[in-house]
Amino acid sequence: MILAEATPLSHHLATWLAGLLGMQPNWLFSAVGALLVATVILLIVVTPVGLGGVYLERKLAGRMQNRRGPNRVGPYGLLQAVADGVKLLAKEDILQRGADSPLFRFAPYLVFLAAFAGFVVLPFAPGVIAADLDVGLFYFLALIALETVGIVMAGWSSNNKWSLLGAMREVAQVVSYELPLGLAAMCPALAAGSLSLVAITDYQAGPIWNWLLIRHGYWAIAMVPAFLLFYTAGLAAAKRAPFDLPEAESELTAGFHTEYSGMRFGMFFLPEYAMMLSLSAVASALFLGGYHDPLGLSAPGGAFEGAWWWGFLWFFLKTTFLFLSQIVLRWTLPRIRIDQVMYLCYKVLLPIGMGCLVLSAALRLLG
Amino acid sequence: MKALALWVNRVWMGLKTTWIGLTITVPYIFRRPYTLQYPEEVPEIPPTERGLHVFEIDKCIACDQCAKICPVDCITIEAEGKGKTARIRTFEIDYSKCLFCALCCEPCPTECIHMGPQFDLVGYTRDEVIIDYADRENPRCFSEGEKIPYEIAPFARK
Repeated sequence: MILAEATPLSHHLATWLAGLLGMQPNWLFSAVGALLVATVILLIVVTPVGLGGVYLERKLAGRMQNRRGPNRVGPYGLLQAVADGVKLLAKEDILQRGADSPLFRFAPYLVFLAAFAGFVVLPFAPGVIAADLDVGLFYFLALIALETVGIVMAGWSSNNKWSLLGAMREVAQVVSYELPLGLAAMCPALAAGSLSLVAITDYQAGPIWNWLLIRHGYWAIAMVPAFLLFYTAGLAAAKRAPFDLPEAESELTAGFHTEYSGMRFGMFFLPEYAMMLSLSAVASALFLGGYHDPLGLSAPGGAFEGAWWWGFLWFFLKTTFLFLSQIVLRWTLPRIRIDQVMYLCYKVLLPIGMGCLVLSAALRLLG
Repeated sequence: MKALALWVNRVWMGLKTTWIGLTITVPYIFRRPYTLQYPEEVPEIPPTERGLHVFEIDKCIACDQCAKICPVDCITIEAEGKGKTARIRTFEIDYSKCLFCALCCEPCPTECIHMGPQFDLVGYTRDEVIIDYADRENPRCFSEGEKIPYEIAPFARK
């Protein structure tokens, strides 16, 4: 719905701009119009996701450690993240000696772009999706790889051994974990027969036993391990504890973003939460029925068929649940060693992932 | 086969230990936080707390015993005369030096100096933490016959 309305909006903007300059609307004006609309969408999405994520993380971390968490700025400390953002904006942007200036400056933008571009294919509610790509799932997985490129750029251009070590760990980790992540994501795609997230979600329409996680009972043999696999590999891809080796504070200062200050640091900090949220959203769309409720009211013929607010509510609940579980896991599990990370990926997740894929294919063939 | 059993055991232990960890940490989310919101909420002070001093100016005979025993020399007394007729002009305690050992209270022949329960004192300059107890405006300076509330000095006589 956002882009379905935004596309004419960008078109109107383009014609209006061209008229303002007394020129014929051409592709350049369309690009500018689309950019303006994208900026507004980004502002609407980035602010609540990034700031809300930071607030939730700090508050939950506090409560799990018998503290209160932020409670000074605004009611219940809600504006703490805003205050921190303003502080970051006001800080000096340091470019240290020996840094590779163009790479160093460009890296945060690439990471930011990759993390937030994933929101394009998320089906928030029936009809509310920026772009229903046929290869939405593939596009989403590709963006995770793109983020790695930005992080390697940051680590290499910083001219700092900790940054470089963090970046190397990131490459080793994320490139490895793409395999189980892709394998786990392929199971629902195989079951639904599509790579479009909307098609996969709508395949799960109806009551709770239509959700892919426990579809008709017997699908659970393949889907429950696949879901755990997707969740674990997602944690690693989003660099969350216990897989936060690229920025391991206790060993590498701050890993790849050691040398970054001010808003450039913020551009590494916010995408982490965006990544967590988009991974939770994709997991809920793939396995937990996305915007469909457990009673089947949003299924074709149900009471709330096509009601965007009803769909959004359920999508929001499922995504938030997974998001919170990621935060709780971070404050529960200790960080694992890099060799353990590799062991987990290649010797545990990958064989299980292949087994899940074969099982799903067999189940698909049988019924 | 043995290797496979080891592998299965490792995977199982990984899942199991994660679950055990979660059963420990998750209940903490629903517990009351221990944090005290300090400027608004004050911690409960035991009656034997050695905080800022409480001084009874009319009892003081300016014998200088407290200043002499003080290990860090933080007490400065200026007075006209000695004994019961002494007029105390200044009785300054420098809290940037004071270590709250309560040795000053021990030798006092008239028991005019006590340790109070107030533990916090802040200032922007060092002069602001030098407190003059000869100033009768000082809330911790008490004149003859004035009753010292229990909250200010629990064990002060009279």
